[in-house]
Amino acid sequence: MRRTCVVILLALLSLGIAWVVLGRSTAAPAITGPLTRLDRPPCITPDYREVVIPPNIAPLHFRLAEQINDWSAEIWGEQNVRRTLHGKGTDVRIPTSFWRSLLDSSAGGTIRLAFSGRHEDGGWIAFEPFEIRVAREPVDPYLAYRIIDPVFGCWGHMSIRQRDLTSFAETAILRNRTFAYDCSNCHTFHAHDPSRLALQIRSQDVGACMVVADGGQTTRVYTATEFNRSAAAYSRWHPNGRAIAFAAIKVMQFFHAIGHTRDVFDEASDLAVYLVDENLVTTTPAISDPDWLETYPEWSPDGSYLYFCRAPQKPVEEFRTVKYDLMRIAYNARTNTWGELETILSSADTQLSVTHPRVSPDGRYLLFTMCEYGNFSIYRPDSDLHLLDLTTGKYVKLPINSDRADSYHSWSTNGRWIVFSSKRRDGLFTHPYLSYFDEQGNAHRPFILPQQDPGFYESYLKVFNVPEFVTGPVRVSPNLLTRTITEPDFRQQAELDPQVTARDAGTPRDMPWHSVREVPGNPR
Amino acid sequence: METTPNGLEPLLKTVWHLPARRGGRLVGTEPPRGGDATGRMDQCSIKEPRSGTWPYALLCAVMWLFIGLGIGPAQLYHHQTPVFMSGIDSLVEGCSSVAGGMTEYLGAALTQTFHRPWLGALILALLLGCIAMLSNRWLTGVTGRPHLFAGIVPVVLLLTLLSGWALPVASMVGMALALLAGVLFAAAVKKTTWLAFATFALLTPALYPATAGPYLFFAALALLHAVMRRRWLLAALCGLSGVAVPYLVGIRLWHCNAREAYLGNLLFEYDYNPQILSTATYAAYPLILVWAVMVAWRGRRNAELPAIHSPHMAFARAAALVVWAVACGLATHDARLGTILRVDRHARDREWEQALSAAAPMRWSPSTTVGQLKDLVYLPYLSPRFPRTAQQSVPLRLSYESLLHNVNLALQQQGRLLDELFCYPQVMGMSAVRMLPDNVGPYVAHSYNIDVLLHLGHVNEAERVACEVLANIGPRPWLLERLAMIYALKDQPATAAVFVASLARQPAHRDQANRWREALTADPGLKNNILASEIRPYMYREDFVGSYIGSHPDEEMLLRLLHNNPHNRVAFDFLMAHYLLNLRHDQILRRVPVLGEFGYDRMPRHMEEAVLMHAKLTGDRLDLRGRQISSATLQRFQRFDQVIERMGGLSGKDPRPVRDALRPEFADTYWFYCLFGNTFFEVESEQRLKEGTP
Repeated sequence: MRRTCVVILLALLSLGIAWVVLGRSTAAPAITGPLTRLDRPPCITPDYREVVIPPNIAPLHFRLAEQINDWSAEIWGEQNVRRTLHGKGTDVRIPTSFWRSLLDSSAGGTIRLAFSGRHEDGGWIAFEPFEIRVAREPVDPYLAYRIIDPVFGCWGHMSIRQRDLTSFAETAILRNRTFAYDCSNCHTFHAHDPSRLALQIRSQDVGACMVVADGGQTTRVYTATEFNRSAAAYSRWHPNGRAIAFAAIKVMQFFHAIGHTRDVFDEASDLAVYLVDENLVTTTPAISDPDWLETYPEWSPDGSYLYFCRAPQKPVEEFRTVKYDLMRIAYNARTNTWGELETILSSADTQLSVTHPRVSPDGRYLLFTMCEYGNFSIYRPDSDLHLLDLTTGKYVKLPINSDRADSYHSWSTNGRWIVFSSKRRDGLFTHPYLSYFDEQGNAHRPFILPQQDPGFYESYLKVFNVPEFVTGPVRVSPNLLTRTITEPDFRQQAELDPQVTARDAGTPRDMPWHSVREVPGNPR
Repeated sequence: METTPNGLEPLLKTVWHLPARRGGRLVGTEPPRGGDATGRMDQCSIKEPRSGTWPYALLCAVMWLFIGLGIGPAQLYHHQTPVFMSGIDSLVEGCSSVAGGMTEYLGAALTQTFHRPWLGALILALLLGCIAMLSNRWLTGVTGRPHLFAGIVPVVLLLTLLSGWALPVASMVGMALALLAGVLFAAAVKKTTWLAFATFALLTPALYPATAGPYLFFAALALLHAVMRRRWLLAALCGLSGVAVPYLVGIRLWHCNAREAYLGNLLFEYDYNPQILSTATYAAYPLILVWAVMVAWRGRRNAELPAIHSPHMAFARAAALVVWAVACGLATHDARLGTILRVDRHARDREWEQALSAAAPMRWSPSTTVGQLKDLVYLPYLSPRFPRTAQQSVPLRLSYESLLHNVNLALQQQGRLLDELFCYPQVMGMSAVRMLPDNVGPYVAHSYNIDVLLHLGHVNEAERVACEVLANIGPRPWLLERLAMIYALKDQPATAAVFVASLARQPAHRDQANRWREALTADPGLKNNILASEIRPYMYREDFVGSYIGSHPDEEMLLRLLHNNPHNRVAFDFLMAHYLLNLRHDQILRRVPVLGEFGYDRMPRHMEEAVLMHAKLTGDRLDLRGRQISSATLQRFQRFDQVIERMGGLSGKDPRPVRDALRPEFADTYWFYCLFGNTFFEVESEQRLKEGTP
């Protein structure tokens, strides 16, 4: 009896293996029968046609959005690297080894893909080939981002993850499940260095704090002081790696009855700088004026200027009239002294609101978002990326924008790649898009972060937040980061710079978003 | 052949795998070389006795029928609806994200079969049968004798949990895996102590990550076994591992909280209060062992072990056991929660007529007694533990409030809300529109607001609530459908398609997703969809921000919706219900002239009652602008008035005699609700009545 069972089990197992192996077979379907030639390339999703890709990117898997049952493709690059692929269904997965040789041989050149597809009735159609250009300059090998639900007020799971852009490997830097579903956000790296990162934590148990990882050392810094009652947000490392600029904000969220539902308004917002070595929070009245809302700090690559956005403080009912200017102020990191405030781009001129300034690594360009009003551009469908030439003072709207929100962008280390969050696919879920930025200052047609499953984005119910390029994998373990957040040994209270006057404890710390744990009736 | 008449010994051997008898004693149970039934039997070269499989087959068959007919896997599925996505990514994520993830994932996968009720019932019956068989094998391994009946005791307890809707499939899977590990350990212990150590050491790293809490159960089984065998070092290792492994792996490595690390996937998850049955299920194993020791001791004293006398007796005992199991299941079947689940399932499917039929036990009739409804209404199902984490197999925490909310929506959709609102047990203070105010209560409760907000045309608010619920309890199929509808209404078919594609990844809902996909392809805005075409005219046309501090109160929201579309029948009905529940009969009177704009050709009964009550209390002359109050309502009000007069009125007296006199005829009226703060049942009002403040 037992032997019989074993035999049956083995037989079933063999059948299963055979089914899996044969089912995935890409045996060449012969192109027989009538062949119709179409004068257009095939529709594919994600749409990688005519994009420019880095020479070290993972294979671009996609789905043919055509009514076909089988496909056959001729793929060739430079130096006569060529291969014919076949597949059943509409999913196209290019073998990694072939993809690598294709990219290696085609850097600075073009890859061409010519597809034919077989209809249900057995007839074949041949599409026009399409091209993918391969840039010479590689992209940073890692991308860090936060994965979260499309949160309105209350979140559940969230995690900060890193993706190896040369493959499909994705690992967690930190999951909020390990610290009671509290919030982690605003991750930022010093000069794209994975060993030096800062991220913000908002926790019911340990409060609002900034986790700073510097090599193997980690600390949990409480940046709220007698000056800034709110903890840090939108932090950015100074190029010298010894200071972190941040915004201390009081945010509220409200909802519209039609159109895009969510909206955000800053009731108060000031900038400050955390000096890592001195464990001091410092600021100057020019960037922390109570009559103005200052936010989104960004350092120039040489560290001599702090760029930021600023708008006059108004009551919430006038939210549609709150438009931010682009400002900058000189800063001497050695002496911790501030210069004069300058307006770089005035909303009076643009009639739009500036957010998210990001200076290119060579210091020539400033990439920013503009939308109709406010500073939470990812909630504004009219948000678009713009490029300011800091040498001429002229700005242009980039051609890579869509009719939906395009925001939260970041430069690669070599300045040749831009990653930004876009809702262009569906209007709700943000996805990371990469765009080549050439030496003439042109941004090229962007492409979505490739995934192993060609249909990944069709059913993925999470959003990608704050994509940031990193030069390697973050090696500080999730376990250590969790311990840093939860254990008392890692705690460090920042001091207020004695030269900064303490303020009345007027600025509240509350945020409009909360964890599932904070909902009355839910468990603590 | 000496003790079994009719030459049935071979048959018994076949079906029970009984060892040959020698002198009235079972060979396998004879303790050779100093061993005994309870002591160190590891050195015995005994042939292990086994029970057969047919009693389990019988048990499975009967349980299959019982679960299929009595409990209803469709209701179970609705209750549990664990999130399950097909695909390698989901499998890896499910198995690796939390200790016990694999068991949860497997449980969620098996729960998908509930969508086909008889298949689901079969899966449950097989799981229970498997647990019974493994329990028996473990007991056999420990005591050296078969314990068919004792092995079924835990299954009876599991069946009672299932009857009370409190048995998650993941916990059953975890229990089965732990028992399987226990059986393997028992087999190893029989060989050598070192093999037992090795087996335990090998099973631990496999079992804990896969099951979490059930590992503790396995460690406890192993501990018991080691103690029985007087292997004290092994026992110490098992006990220590049971405590240390969840801490080191679950808490330190996986960063689970203590409850997840130690109790995750155990039976306590759904067994709300006081968790006696769950505790008893696990406690059954040591108790059965004690019982087995006592039996063995008695048997040794009597120089004979109890024997099975005949196959008829064996059959009778097996049948009795099965009957006992089913009887326990029937006796503990929670019909009240069954009613709530049925109503909820039909309401989620927008089967309004069926929802109201299922709610019939709640509907008032002259023969309704307060006692009947007390039991139905006050249900302790809202658990303080919800949600342990988002996207887990947490059940819907159904409650009386959710039931009433469903009934009210069903009544509105059937056009009967203002005629029959008080036919169901309404409670003063409850909202007619939203089940819970913003940011109060578990988020699954807010999911009930999605439908009413959608029907009202407040699509953005429905979107907000739906996304909150999505973040909290994960992509439940019914939620994905609603999100698809919301985004189709917002003319975002691409967003709707994402939710439909996600629905398609849930095997039980693939067909449903395909229908959605076809509909969205053919008609992206769902212009031809009946529900969408009902909602679309009510949607806001001008933007506004309701409140900067949260969503606005019901009345304000309904008035604004009516301002946006003066023919919004859903908003009108709920506004009137809101006024009725809050005793605002003056507002009801003001709206009588506009009834025609909402398609009413007569005044609804409760509005008539409110108008009459207003006239009675204020003494005003009624101006109904041509509307008539029906003679039936007028006559009924006269009788109502006469009863109060006959009882000497209400002022300054104990109102209970008046209430009792009015209840048989008027308990389903606005007048009764107005006077006593509830319809016809409420327990809390007893206190108010005692205080003389109706």
